[in-house]
Amino acid sequence: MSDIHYYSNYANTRDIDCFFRIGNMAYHFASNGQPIPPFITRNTNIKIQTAVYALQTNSTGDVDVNVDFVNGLIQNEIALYDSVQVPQEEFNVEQMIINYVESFQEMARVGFVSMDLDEEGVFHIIASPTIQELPQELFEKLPEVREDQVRIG
Amino acid sequence: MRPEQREMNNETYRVCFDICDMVNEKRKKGKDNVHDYPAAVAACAVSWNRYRCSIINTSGKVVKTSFHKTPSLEAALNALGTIGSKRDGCNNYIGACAEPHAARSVLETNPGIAVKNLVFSYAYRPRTKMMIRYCGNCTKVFNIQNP
Repeated sequence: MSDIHYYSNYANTRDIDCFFRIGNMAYHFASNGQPIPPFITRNTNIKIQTAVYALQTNSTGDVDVNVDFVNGLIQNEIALYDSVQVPQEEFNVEQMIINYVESFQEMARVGFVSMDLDEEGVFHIIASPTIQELPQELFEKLPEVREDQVRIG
Repeated sequence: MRPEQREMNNETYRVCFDICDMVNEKRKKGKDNVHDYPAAVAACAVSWNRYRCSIINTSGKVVKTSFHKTPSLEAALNALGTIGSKRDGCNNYIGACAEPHAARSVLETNPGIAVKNLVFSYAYRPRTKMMIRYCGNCTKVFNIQNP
């Protein structure tokens, strides 16, 4: 049965976990309401999501977080609040970082390089596994993508 | 920032956590095949005096008939272009943001309120609990401004 792409008006209002591979690396990204690249198809992606969420319940792998990028985002967020005069003491920067990286860390623990997608269509790595432990059967289900099909910032 | 808006923001922020819990619970149960987060959540109220009665809603798909029960909002959205379509200068579909969905819920129970008098929290992204800027459609329709 042929697969379909996500409808653009659905993708625009959702923040979807999407998966693909380049070479021997497995990638996840959060769509952040942005257009879904054409190499992601809906039915295949939902099947992969289901398999990944099942793995997440007992995943314990170590991950590296892209601290510089995340800190930059948090500083921008604080500046935004600052501009509407929210007092500095109301910010719990540590908690803001945890809130932001949590879902990406969970994906990295399973074995994906986990990324966020910005409004320019650029992927930003947020968390990476120290060892790739994704089951081979799942890895082979991921759509294979060429490096030149994605812009990783 | 007005204290009332801060209260609305805090409440909306808390709802982000609830949505995350809900999505994660769905995943654990595995009953439903769709586990996607909404892209945004926002709250709307009839006035700052009544911010405690604000209604929080998420971004979601719209069709031409989505706002039939709230003619003033439907007219304001249609002034931008056809509901459910995109216009130049904004990446979002007209009427699909969390703000019009929240506004519709408020206006259904308060039909006499002018669209431009509605008040809003900031919008947040449930996955990360980060603030989202109002889009070009919402700033025009609701007369709201980004920080």
